[in-house]
Amino acid sequence: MSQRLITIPILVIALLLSLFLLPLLQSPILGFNILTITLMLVMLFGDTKLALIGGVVGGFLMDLVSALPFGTFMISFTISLAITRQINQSWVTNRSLTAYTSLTVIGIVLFHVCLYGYGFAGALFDVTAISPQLGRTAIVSGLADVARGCIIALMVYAMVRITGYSYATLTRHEF
Amino acid sequence: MPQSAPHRRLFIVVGVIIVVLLTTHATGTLNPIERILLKGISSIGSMSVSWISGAHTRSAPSQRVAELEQRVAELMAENVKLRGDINALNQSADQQHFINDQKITGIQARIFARSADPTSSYVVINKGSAQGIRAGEPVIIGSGICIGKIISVTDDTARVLLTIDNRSSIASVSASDPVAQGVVTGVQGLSLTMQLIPQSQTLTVHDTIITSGIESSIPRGLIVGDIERVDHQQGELFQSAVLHTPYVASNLDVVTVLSSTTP
Repeated sequence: MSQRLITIPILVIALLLSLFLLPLLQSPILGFNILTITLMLVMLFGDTKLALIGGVVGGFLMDLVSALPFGTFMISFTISLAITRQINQSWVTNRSLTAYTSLTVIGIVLFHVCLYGYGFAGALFDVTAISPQLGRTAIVSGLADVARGCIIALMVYAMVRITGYSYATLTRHEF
Repeated sequence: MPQSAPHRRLFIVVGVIIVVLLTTHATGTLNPIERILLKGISSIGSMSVSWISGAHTRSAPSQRVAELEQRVAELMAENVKLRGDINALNQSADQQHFINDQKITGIQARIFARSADPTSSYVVINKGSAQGIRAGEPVIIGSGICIGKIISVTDDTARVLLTIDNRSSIASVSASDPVAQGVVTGVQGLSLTMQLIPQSQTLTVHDTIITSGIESSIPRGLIVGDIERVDHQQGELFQSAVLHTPYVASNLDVVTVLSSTTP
């Protein structure tokens, strides 16, 4: 419960930043997908339920103001969280720095694949929505997000190690 | 895995919720709730845009102002908000003068949200079809600087695709040589390029590019940008030009949608 008292405000702040502040950085390089990274880390640190609720609520609000087909963010968040969690359960055997960083990166890549896959599928119904440059932008922003995800995962992991935030008490099966 | 079953159920429940949301959105049942949420987002978004806009106008304050700001934190917050409002009023006045001069009708609106996905460059404004806004209408700032076109409209909101977006295309012409026509498109959400300009036309750096008026809802003469560089390649049918973007997307606050109906 005390974990959620910390995690919920963090998720709310990440959502507010994603909706209002970070889109002001109108650049594929600087545009920051902080909500995806936060959701991945919340899930990896053991609160799948909260991460999923955050994904649906955040995705719904982002879909309301997005020009992409409705549901793109909601579905992308849910699918990427589900697959990352499955990978974590099936293949990850320890809680090392490499494991956390890899899973965060996998989660971000999955999110981008879902986001642009769904976005492109939706755009197929509207020919004017497709541009030859869109694919290149998607790759640039995807790679930038992965790089940022690595850095943030490393920072969060370091903070967790320093503060000991519930890390030692969790077992692998609690994920 | 004893913990897997509850989580599987959780994912199924979330999946069902998403399907319900998608269905209710598609059928329009969710519209009242979406409208309320959008109003909430609109209020918070307007406040944040106003605050950021105020922060921009605060650049390079005097030493004395800086000292005062440090000493009176509450006054600084209020000051920033007021400056944002003044900035918005100035922008609004510029746009109103342009509309009056050109004898066209315009609807002023404030931006309250921006594209959350980095591949798109659009903004969401707080006026919609209830106020007479229609898809395809141009959106301007200042004295007729075209920043984009309306791409979708709800009752109280509208999405504006900025000219710098990859999907944006506007029929344009050089202000100094009306024969030099082309299409201005966005590049990666960062800049503008004018393409499909016949090789026979001569373009020079710093020429102003304006809308050509061949699109039914976009009047002639709105400023799209000015030429930064001309790419003239031998053997090609057309030449292209890189344009300087006349606005900073992150500074946009108050905009005017030009209505296609004339008074």
